[in-house]
Amino acid sequence: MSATDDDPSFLARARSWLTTTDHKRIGLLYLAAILSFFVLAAVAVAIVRLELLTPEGDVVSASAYNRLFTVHGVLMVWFFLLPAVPTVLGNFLLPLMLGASDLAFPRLNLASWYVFVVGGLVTLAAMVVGGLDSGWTFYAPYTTRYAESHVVLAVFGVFLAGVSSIFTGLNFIVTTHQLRAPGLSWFRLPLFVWANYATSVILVLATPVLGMTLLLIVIERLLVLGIFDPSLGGDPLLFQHFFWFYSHPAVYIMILPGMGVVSEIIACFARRPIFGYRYIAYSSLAIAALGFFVWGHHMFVSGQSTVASLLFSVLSFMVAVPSAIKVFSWLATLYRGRIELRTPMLYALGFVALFTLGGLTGLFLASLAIDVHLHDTYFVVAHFHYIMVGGMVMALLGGLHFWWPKITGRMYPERWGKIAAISIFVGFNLTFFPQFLLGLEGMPRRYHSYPDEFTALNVVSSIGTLLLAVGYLLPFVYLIGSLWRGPKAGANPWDAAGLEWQTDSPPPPGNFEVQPRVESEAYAYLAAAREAEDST
Amino acid sequence: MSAKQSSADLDRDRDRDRDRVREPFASPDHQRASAELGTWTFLAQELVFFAALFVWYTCQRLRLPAEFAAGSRATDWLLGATMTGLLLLSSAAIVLAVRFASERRRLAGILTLGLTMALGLGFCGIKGFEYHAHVVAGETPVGAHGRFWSVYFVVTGFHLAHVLAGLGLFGVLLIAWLRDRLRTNALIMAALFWHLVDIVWIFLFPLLYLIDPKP
Repeated sequence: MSATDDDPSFLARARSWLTTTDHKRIGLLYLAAILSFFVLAAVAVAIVRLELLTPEGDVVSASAYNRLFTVHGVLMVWFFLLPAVPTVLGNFLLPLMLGASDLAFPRLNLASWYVFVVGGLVTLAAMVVGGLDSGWTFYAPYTTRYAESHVVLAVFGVFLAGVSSIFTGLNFIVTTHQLRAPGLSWFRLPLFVWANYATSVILVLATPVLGMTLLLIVIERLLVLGIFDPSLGGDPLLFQHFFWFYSHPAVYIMILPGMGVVSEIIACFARRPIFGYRYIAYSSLAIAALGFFVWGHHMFVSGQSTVASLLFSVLSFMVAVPSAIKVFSWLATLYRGRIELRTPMLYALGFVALFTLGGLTGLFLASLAIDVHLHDTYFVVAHFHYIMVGGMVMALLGGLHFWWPKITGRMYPERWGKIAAISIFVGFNLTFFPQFLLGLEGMPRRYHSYPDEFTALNVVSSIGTLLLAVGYLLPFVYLIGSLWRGPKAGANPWDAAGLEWQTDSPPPPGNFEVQPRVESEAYAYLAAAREAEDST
Repeated sequence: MSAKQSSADLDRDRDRDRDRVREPFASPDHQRASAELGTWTFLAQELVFFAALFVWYTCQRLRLPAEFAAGSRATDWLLGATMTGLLLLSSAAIVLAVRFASERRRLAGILTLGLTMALGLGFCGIKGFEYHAHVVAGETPVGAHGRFWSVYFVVTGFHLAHVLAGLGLFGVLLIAWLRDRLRTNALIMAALFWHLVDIVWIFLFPLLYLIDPKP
């Protein structure tokens, strides 16, 4: 990255990357890793969508189909969505936004990447030697007893990914507490930092339960101990409780950092200070806290008591409050703003639309009676794809475009960026909106064949996937191309507020020539605009 | 005045040797505060990790109270109490070692750190003896009261793994101290971890050994 390298050998450069403790390089290492997993998972789901083009199971066998959607789910959730924004954009930006030279524990940061990659390779090994057909949720007692597949390897790989995210969360928490620049008080922090802080709290306090649960599965399977298997005296529902105690907060790990990205982009391209700064900051913490008390809404039909279901239902509805606070604050920021529809802004607006739809359909699923009808149908699949893909992937792409000039020092081609953003938005809706309808009509998830009456909507969905795939491929091509062909960006191409824009693009090792000081609130866009008006 | 200054310089040099301030931090205090916050965050994570085991224990015990009482009677509360005593003493010893490290009393520090390790090894020895006796007596997850013994072996196994990890850390620190290269921050962090190991055991002891001591 640095200009002083006068063309050392390839090996020396690879070595300097693989032993780096620079948070910016580690962020890029993470980007390479998660994109590799994304591509593999996307290929798996391409075959799934091809299979679903016709009602008959004619492309792959039922058991191969099960393995394919498991590859898709395991890789996408554990090795792409969960780490996506925190480890890539968070790693790159957190110290820059705080005015620090690095994260608090740079070597721990590098270690987290290695643990993550080893975890991914272990899980991939399980997929290669025979695969896994449990879905991404590893439900016991299926995984502990009946599944004839490589559960132990796959589960252990996911455990390692969990360890890696605990390292990252710990690092972010200490960094945010300890390494803020002089004058950068908590309520002057960019909302991206607040979002990543809330995410880190979930990472540290929820992931250990997943870690322990997965280790218990490994122990039960290897030593035939009765932990989750009822025939050995275990309790299969305990697995579901443990799993969702982590995995529901994990949904907020996947969406909160995306909300942080969107807050930054919307304030910049509406040229206004964010509306309701404190409310957005607090709502991140509220979502993180509430997230720990809603896991039972995944278990409405598993025989838990009506009282428990009722409580979990009410608590789940409460998550809508902080989420809506964010959405309305973004809309209020746009109101009377000087809106520029740049590529990152298209992604941010797409995020708001898709997240709102995903969130509102979540309320359907949080309603006890309706959930009985919709549980395990395509309605659920559509709902969580609207949150996780419509939310997180849009935010990741928006953030990647927004900070691309900062990360690489080069501009991406604006026209191609817009074409990709629009085709992703259209392709996404074409793919997943029909799945809401399929679910309402009762099509269950995870089957490789289906009755004829579901054909039309499935064909629409599969065609949408094609458009979505084109939209995802485009950024791969033009972003890599921009490394050589893109015009130089300069330190602050968007005229954006925030410490990260005050240093060079790409930032030098150590980030800042002089320790920055902060003397104003975040998002000082109006003040800047007024100053500009005054001077003319 | 110059004498005072030079002794201050000397102190600073020694500090620099022992706890070199690394890049993102401004001063030794800043670095120590960050290291401690990091350790506490890690310990919070460890507590949640064990919490899952305690939930499993609670579920099984509520379902099978008689089996748990019977299993518990097969454990030796005297051995359990001895192990508790060993861990508590070792925690006191590591507190002293940290104190000696900050006072730069190397010999006393090395001795107390060694004592901590000896007490910890004593714990492991008794635990190993217990495991052996249980397995020989058929008190295993597949035998009678197997559901109690499943919990017993898994929970104490995870705890024992943490004891061994702590002893490993102390071993590395002891070697560093013998070579006069101890970083006080590292010792503080390891000591905090050791207290967690201690606290978890304080809950495990009554939950496993003292459910119903009367036959």
